[in-house]
Amino acid sequence: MSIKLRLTSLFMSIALSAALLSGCYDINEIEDLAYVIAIGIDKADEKNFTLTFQTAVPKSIAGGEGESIDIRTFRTDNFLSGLKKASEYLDRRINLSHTKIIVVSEEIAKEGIMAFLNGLQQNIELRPNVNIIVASEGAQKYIESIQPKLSSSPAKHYALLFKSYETDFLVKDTQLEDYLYRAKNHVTQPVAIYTSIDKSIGDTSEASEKEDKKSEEDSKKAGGEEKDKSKEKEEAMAIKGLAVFQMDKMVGTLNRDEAMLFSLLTSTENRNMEIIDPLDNRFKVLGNITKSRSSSTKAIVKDGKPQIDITLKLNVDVKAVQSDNDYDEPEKAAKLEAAYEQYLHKGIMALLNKTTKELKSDIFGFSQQAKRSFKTIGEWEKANWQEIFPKSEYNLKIKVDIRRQS
Amino acid sequence: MKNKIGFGSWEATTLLVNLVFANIMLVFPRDMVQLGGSAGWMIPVIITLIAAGYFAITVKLYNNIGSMDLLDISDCIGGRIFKVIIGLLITIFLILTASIYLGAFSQTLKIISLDRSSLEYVEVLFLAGMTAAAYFGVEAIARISAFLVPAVIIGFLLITVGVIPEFRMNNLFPVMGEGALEILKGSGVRLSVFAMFVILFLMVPFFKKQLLKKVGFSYVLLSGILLIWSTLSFILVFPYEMAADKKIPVFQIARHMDFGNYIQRIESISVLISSICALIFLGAVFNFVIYVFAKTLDLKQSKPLILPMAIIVFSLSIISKRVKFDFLGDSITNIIWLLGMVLPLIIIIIGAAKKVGTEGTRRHK
Amino acid sequence: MGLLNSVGRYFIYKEKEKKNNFILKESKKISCEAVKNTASLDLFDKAEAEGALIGCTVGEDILKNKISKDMELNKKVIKTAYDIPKNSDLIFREFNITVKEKTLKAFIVFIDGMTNGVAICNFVLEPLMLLSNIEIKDNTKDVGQFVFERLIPYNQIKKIDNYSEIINNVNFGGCGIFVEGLEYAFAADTKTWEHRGIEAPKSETVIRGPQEAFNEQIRANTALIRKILKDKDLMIQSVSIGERSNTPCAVMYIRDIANDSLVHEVLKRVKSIKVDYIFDSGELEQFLEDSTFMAAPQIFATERPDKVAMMLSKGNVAVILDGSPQVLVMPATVTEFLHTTEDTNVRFPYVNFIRAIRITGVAIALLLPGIYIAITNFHQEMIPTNLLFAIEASRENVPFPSVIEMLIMEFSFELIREAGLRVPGAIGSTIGIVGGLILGQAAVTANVVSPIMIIIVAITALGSFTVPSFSMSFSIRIMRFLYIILGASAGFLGISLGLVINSLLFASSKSFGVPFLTPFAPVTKGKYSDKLTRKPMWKQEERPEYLNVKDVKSQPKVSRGWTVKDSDKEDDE
Repeated sequence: MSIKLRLTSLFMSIALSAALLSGCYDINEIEDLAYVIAIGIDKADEKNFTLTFQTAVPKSIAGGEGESIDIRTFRTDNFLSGLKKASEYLDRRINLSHTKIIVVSEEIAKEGIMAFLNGLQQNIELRPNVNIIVASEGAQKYIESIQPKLSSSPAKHYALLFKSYETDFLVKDTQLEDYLYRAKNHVTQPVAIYTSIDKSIGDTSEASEKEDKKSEEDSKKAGGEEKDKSKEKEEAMAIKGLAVFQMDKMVGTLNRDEAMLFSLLTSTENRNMEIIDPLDNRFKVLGNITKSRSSSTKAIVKDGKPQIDITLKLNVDVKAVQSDNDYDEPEKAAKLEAAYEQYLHKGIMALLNKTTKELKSDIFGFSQQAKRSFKTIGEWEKANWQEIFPKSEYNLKIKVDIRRQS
Repeated sequence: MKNKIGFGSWEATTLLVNLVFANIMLVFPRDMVQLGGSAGWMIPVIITLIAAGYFAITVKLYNNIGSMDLLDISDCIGGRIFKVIIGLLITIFLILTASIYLGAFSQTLKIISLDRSSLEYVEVLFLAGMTAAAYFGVEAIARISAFLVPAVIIGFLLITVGVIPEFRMNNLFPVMGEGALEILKGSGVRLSVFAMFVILFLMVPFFKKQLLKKVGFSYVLLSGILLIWSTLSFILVFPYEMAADKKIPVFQIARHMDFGNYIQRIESISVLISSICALIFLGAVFNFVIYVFAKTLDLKQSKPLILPMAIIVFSLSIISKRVKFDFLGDSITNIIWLLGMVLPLIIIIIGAAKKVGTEGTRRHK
Repeated sequence: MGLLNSVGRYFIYKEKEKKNNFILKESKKISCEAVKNTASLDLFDKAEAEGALIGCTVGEDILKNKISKDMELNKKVIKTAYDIPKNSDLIFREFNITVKEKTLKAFIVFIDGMTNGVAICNFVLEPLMLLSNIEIKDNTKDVGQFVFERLIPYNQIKKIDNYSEIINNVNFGGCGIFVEGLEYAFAADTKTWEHRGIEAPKSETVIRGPQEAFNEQIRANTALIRKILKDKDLMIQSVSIGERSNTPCAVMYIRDIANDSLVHEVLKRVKSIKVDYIFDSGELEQFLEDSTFMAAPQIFATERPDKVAMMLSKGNVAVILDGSPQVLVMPATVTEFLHTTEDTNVRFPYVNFIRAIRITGVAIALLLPGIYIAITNFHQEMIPTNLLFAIEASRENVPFPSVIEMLIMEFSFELIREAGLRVPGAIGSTIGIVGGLILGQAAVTANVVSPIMIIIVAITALGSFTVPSFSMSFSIRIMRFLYIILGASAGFLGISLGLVINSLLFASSKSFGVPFLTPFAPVTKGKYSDKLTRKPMWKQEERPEYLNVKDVKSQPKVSRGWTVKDSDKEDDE
């Protein structure tokens, strides 16, 4: 090769290696990162907050089967510097791309958590389906109390946990993306999962205690699932219901029954519900409720007052009857239907009143329906849903249809 | 194959559709929602119709012109001076387009994945692809776009289909969005997404004249469908209030895909798609820069031009990033981009009036 | 005494015997050149030039001269040309023949080991020596004509009038026959030598299909193709390549299917190769191909006659070189490298399934390591959480970053592959076990390499074995390394950069005028339906039109006659 060609190729190879090596600052080996699974935010004193990070520790370091978790708590005055501090204590860089939950303590929720959420929103690593949980006892306690016994990794634990909650009430709506959207705009108001430690459940590691807990939990909840008793029932934290927000401040809670009714109104999944047996007051009847497609919600704004018509057509599959009554016979079935309708009507009206008049926040999403009657965005914004919602009037029609008895 | 130096209608169509698709991947759905609110999907419909009308007019005028491209027409109209002016105008237009898009693509990629690398590094990678494409010539770019662009579009469609569970029909209401006036204004401004008609008219000598109609109409049709569908799916997933915050629309849509426990966060597929789209876009535009420049000044060799032009594009894009001005979203720049449609129209009208093609070819053919 | 001697050797100095050290001197060319310059034949008569010629080879120009009537001159030329008493396998036999009551001197020259001695005895010597005595009723006056037409009953014999052609024929196993007084000589084609028989193909095995492969004899190879095609239009044109080796080479095509300009171009290229010796079709391929430095092959080499026959019937041109069992077929596009002959022998559902697997295998072989590196280094959020922790756990104790580890593993896998080829048969299989299992397992246990990496490399290797063509798998192996580096430098951006530049390279390269990526890149309108998936056999009605063949239709529209209803017999069924 001639000298010129040789010099040119030398120069090109140097340039190429320089180009390839100079820019890749972004290479992160998998094991160089610390994966945070849960973030907790507590109030420490006036201006400071305590941040709790639960990170997954890989198998080979922890020893034994499965990963274990490492929980650390830092005091800081804002969220972003807390993240940085955490990186100093752990010898790896924090990576939020596998975070599953964000836990906020109730005090902070009442003051407004916008500062945190704004800081988190731009962080592109966070998944949009991170769940937000409000813990009445404090975030740190909640995180520390989670002891996954049947899952080998805490991440899997959370994922399965929320899947099982989805059949009870709406975990979907409590995700970060929805939360952020709702918190900033005057439309549907956000909700979050509300938990508190259930003190009646003691520490558990033996099988017999698990049985006790199970029966206790069954009687606590408004309806339990019969099949698939998932492993997640055995923790010490119990979901109490949903926390209701107005913009970014928490204004109240819904207990389990109300949360169940809330999910009945707004989603299409099956729910298990039990009511008192109409023919025998000592026992209960368990039924699986499905909302049929012809249920509808209509909302219009008339004279500055929203007029909301809700029609619910429900199908009930009777799953378990504790008494000896046979609900296949038509009269008994009619009685059961009436009982369901009455129970639901009462519950839903109470819930609607509570959210409209007391909490004044539209968590159901009626605003989405009301939007339809407006022609342009300008008109809609002039109507100012936020102000007129507390004046809304409801018109509720429920029709229950017993389908079959198992 | 019958053509030796040319390419067929499918290759030309996919090349042009990719030029529109790049815009979709960058800013288009978000701009639509900003301009039209929840009725933003109407704007692409109007734009497509206007573009179709525009093309119908020009192709009818082309009956008088024959198989010549813009430079040849301007040569026949006003002689060499006019051709040089038009050619330089087109070259500058395409160079600016290339540098702005280069900056936009690198910025997008930096936000999504290559966070800590410097912007210049990412741009150098795109630049490498661009110059390689220029070295291989227009035919090579057209040929690979024939099979890469359908793959990219299918990937994009899969993303939008994958978020169908997240569609909420309520997001389309209020029906008229920001109002009819805003919608019309928006569509007038945003017609610039079809600015690449200028490249269509430069490509004419590569395929025969009778294919021009087919290429143009399928281009408008396919781009229209893509534009409407992307805006629709974007609005259906994100309500209009949130949409203004989403800087990178397709990526944000892809983040919502969630099938079971295992297919989550596969939005990095959108990185792959937008990189391929970006590389083909830049390669095609840059190729035409070199081609037009060489043809304008009647240069025999065009290969030596490639590296200097690449450096010019690179520096322009770095400068444009320093200025911190959102070139792609601003109305004024979009109106300037309309030049890409207006200029060919003017030239073609003049050329058709002078019946350029029927007098036979002149010396510059 | 012996002990004393051996001990004494250490104490008593003995002069070492002089060993002969060999020094390689520059060869003296001067005397031969001077002699060769004089092209005149008269030099042979000059005594002084004779001495100079000993040790020099005979020049080409002397050999171009015509054969003379003088026996002695012929003998001298042949003897000097071959340096006959020294060159031990050249046989020189003199004898007399009687033609029409005249006794003529004659001699034959042939190479022992390359000729069929029995044939020479029975069909050359015996008739010339004995039959010439028998009265043959013929009125031919000319001696030479008489000898040619009557006295040598051999099936392949030629009249040659210059020395160089006789020598070429003798070199290739012929027998040169010189008769006194004739201005020409005869060359009989008596070639026979030891060779390998027709065996099963060594590298391209199929389950369903013929199990014959080419061997090194050009006539046997052309016969294999002829007996498959049995077409009168199959042309086998013979060309000789190599100035010294004179290797016969055959260019095959079907006259009324293949494009004329393609055939012309192939012949032009083959005939214009100027080289001393050529040994194998691999060398020929490198002389013929369009672009030497591109990573993908442009000429298709195969050792199966059915594959060559199939490609000839589609309009391609094949080149066979004597001495090489691989036959070159051109032009070659990307689909040729991904199809096997089994694809046409197997039923429609199986074929498309196998093709899907094969294409996935190719994609895996090319991209999997690069994509793995890109995902684990840049896009960790794509991995499901459980898998992420599994990978992290396995990589925890490994010292190297994943890129280095991947390169080490790929490199060692290439080493294992090369070693497995060179190792003799008995140990060959042990290498597989040793290299693969034990080394890999030991490396993982010693925490030098993570198990995930071994899985990735193993799957990649499996994918690369599905590529049917040897040269294509080579090119995939090379490109895979580039993808690893690109993936490590910029994640998915690097991978897509690699994909685009790769496609550009392929799209702009041509193989004998046909772009490499046909039928994907220039999308052709023909009905050729064997691109990625194959349509049923009875639907493949046309030949690939990118070859611009003369006769495009290969099947009529209804190629299964039994599907058409017989209108008469309707009532009977």
